[in-house]
Amino acid sequence: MHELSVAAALFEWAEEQSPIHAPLVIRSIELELDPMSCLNPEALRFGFTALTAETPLAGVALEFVSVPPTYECRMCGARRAFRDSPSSCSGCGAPLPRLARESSLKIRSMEVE
Amino acid sequence: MITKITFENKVLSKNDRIAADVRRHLTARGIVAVNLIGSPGSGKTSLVESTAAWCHGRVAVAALTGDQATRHDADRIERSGIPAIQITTGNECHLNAQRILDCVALDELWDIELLLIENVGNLICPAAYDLGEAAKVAILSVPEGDDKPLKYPGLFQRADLMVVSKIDLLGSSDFDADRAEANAREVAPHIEVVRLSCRTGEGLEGWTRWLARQLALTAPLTAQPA
Repeated sequence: MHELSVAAALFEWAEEQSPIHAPLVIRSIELELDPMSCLNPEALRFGFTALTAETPLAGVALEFVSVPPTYECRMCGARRAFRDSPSSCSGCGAPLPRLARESSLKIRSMEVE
Repeated sequence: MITKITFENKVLSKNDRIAADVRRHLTARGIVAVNLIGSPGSGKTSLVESTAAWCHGRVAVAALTGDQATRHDADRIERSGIPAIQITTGNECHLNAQRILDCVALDELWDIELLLIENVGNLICPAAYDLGEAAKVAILSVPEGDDKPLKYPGLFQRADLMVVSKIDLLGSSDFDADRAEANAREVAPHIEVVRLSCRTGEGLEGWTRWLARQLALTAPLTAQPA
């Protein structure tokens, strides 16, 4: 449901990037998505396509790479990616790290031509 | 020729930056913010009302309440004797950090110790947005079913506490509170759990003990407001 907000943030970022690389144009953006990100890639792609239609970013492809979620220790603040919920912090040994609060969708790369 | 440029960035980094600003503001003023997330009808507003009653004479509290439309919830909460600000989100299905930042300097929130943020009723999208809160609370009501932590792990994995609400309705469905708790711990081993009914008052002391602990954990960093 909130994929359109995320697509809008991505569109804003891509618009900032465009003049930096001109005269080259953005062809694709590669995103890292973890299974706990609460995002549907197809809905995000749909929103991005709708927002970029009839703009210089029309036709930019979104590609998704699956990555493990990031957990943060509530005692020492250490952050680490784990495929499954870890039982303790690998830094300080405190029990039961929690999924990181921040956004878990990252831009990994983009292709320009 | 196609050139690949790599980044270490985040799509929602703008929200994360604003959330960090909110957290700095609140921490400097000694305000504990709790983000209440649950389905529509899970009992978020009732929990705010019950909390207002407990806070009376003890803790200075205010509420921000998010809905797509109307100010019904803010009106309800104000009748319980605390300041309430309605955030109307229109087509947005969640609150974001900017919405909170827009409110933190308002007079109603100036001299408070506890800020209850009642998010838009939704188990998915609000979980993805850091609001700068001290803790996230997932609210699961008895009529919703005890399997929701397994179905919507993103929220429970980010929450510090799960409130099982409307326990006065236990026995009227197949909801098993022990199973709900086990399901939550299966996806989020760290999570604390309290069971309560705002209607009968049963179990509210578990919630207020948890709140008191959060309040004790946060002390002002400076004497000056940020």
